Order: sequence, then structure tokens, then C-alpha cells
Amino acid sequence: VFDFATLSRVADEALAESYVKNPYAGKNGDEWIEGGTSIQFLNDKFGQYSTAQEMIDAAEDEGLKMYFAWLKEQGKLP
Amino acid sequence: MAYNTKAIKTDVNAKPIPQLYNPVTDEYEVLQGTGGAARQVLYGPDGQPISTTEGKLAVRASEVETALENLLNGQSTAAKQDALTALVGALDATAVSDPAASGAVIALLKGVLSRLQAVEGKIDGITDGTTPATTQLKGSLVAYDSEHGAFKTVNASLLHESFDFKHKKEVTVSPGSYLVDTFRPTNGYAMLRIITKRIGAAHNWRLCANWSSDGTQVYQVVEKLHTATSGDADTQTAKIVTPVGSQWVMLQLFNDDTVSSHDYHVHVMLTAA
Repeated sequence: VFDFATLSRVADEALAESYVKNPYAGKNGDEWIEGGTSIQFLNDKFGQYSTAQEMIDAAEDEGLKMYFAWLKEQGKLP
Repeated sequence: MAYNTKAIKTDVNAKPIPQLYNPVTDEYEVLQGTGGAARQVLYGPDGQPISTTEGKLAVRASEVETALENLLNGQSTAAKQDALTALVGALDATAVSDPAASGAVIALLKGVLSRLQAVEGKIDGITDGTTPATTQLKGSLVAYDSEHGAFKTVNASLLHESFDFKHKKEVTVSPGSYLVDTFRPTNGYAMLRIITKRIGAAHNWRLCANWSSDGTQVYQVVEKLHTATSGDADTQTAKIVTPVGSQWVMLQLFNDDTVSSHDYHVHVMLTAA
């Protein structure tokens, strides 16, 4: 079980309570664009997993796969 | 009684005076007159005296007076006669006293007639389609910018391409995520018109605008431009009117769908007026 609320929030104060920073929130052609992802969404869809690989395997979206891999690189997820 | 039964009138010397007998009163009466003439009574062919109305003969008096009144008060006032006199005088001065001026007036009238005929011909060409008029619409959304995939107006220009930095390279937003784009438009604008287009299947998404007026990126006003539901599938438009002097604008594009990522175009138009 993992709580995504423990991760770094976005810089926008108005959204920081609900969104965590995600460097792969969007993509323009081949270029990834930084943004934010909903904490509630992440907890609802991936909170039951405890490792990055489990989350990557469960995710269908390419950006989310990249995000979970990035969290592993950052040491935020095992 | 009869006249020969009555005494005639006399003067101070007991001499008879000019008089006549009045059978109605059965008396002789003094013959009266004016200006040395005795009073007279006119009789018509029927033997009846001709009456008078207010001292005038009553013969067609009313008809004559009506005609005279119309003539004097309605059709021949002194002012109208003066005006007619002036016009006649002017025509006389122009056409007779100054023949050259008369020719100029005629030439001017001919020129006006010629131009009217030319306008008439052009109108005919427009109405029958042989020479269509060149027209231009202004003041509203009238054109589609195929290069940028956005609507444009005559007095507006494409200011920014948020989340769509290159034409036809729509941006993808992951589910449950949002992107932010901050830009600084030319200062002094009056209105920003935001045009958004979502690519692909309908889903839940939002576009919010924030702006700053003090030159910093501390955004003071936040306005949600548009919330699309799963029923919205086409291009969506919205507009914001920014405060005068606003210097920074931030757009936030939310993909509220929890299933898959989606693609978008978002254009920002500047309306100068």
C-alpha cells in the first residue's frame, strides 16, 4: 500500500493540496511536459500496490508508466 | 286705408317734403338717402326684392366669398407671391442675364444623371452576379486559420499556442493530470480569447485561466474557462476579458478522465479592441 500524498507537490499553491509533481504529465510529440497528477486519482488507481513495477504493470498510460519509473529512480518507490 | 286718406308730411313752413307712402304702416314717411341720392330697392324678375347679406347682394354671395377666400388666403398669399417673384428673378438672372451660368447648371445636371446611370449599372451587376461586390466582414469570428487550426478575427491575431507548440502536434495529457503553460503577452491588450479543441474521444476535461497584473507571476485572479463533460466532442471556445495592464497569463489544462490520456489543441487569441 502506498500513499501518493507523501510525494512532492506541484508549485502552484492553489493545486498543491491535490496534485503531486509529475515530469511526465503530458507529451508534445516526443517531448515530455511537466505538470501535476491528482493524488486522489493515483491513490484510487494505484494505491493498493507497493512497488513501482506493480504500478507500471497496472498502468496503461505511457506517461504514468514513466512517472512510476521516475519515482523509483528518485528513491520514492521501491 | 289708402294713401289719399292720409296727410302728407310738411316742413317748418308747411310745405310738402320729399316723401313716400308706406302701405304697411299706412303713413307717409320722409324719403331718406345718402350722398344726395334716395334709397332704392332692387326687384328681381319674379317681382320680389333682391335681399342683401351684411350689406352685400345675396346673389351667389356665399359661393363667391368661398372662392375669394381660397384665392386670397391659400393660394396667393403675399409671401408666396414674393417667393415666386424671387424664383423667377433668379431664373431670369441665370438663364437670360448670364447664359454661361445657365450652361454650367445644365452641364452639372447632365453629370449627375450620368453618374446615377453608372451607379445603376453597378447595382445591376451586383444583383445579377456578373460583377460581385468585394466585401469584408469585421468585428467577429469570421475566418479559420488553417495554418494554426484556429479561428481568427480581423482585429485579432494568434497570440500563443498553448499545449500545441507546433502545428498538428497536439499535446497529450495523462489521466488524472494537468499541464500548465505560462506566457507573457504584449502589454496593453484588452481581451484574450481562448480557443480549445479536444482531439479524440469525449471525456471530462477542464481549462482554467489565471492572470497577473503587477508584472510578477503571482496570479491574482483565477477563472475557470470551460468544463467539458463526456458529451462534448467538438471544438470548444471560451473567452476571458483581462484587466488592462495584465502582464502574465497562465493556462491550466486538466484531463479529469481516469481511464486514458487524451490529446488537445489550445490556442490563445488576442483581441485588440
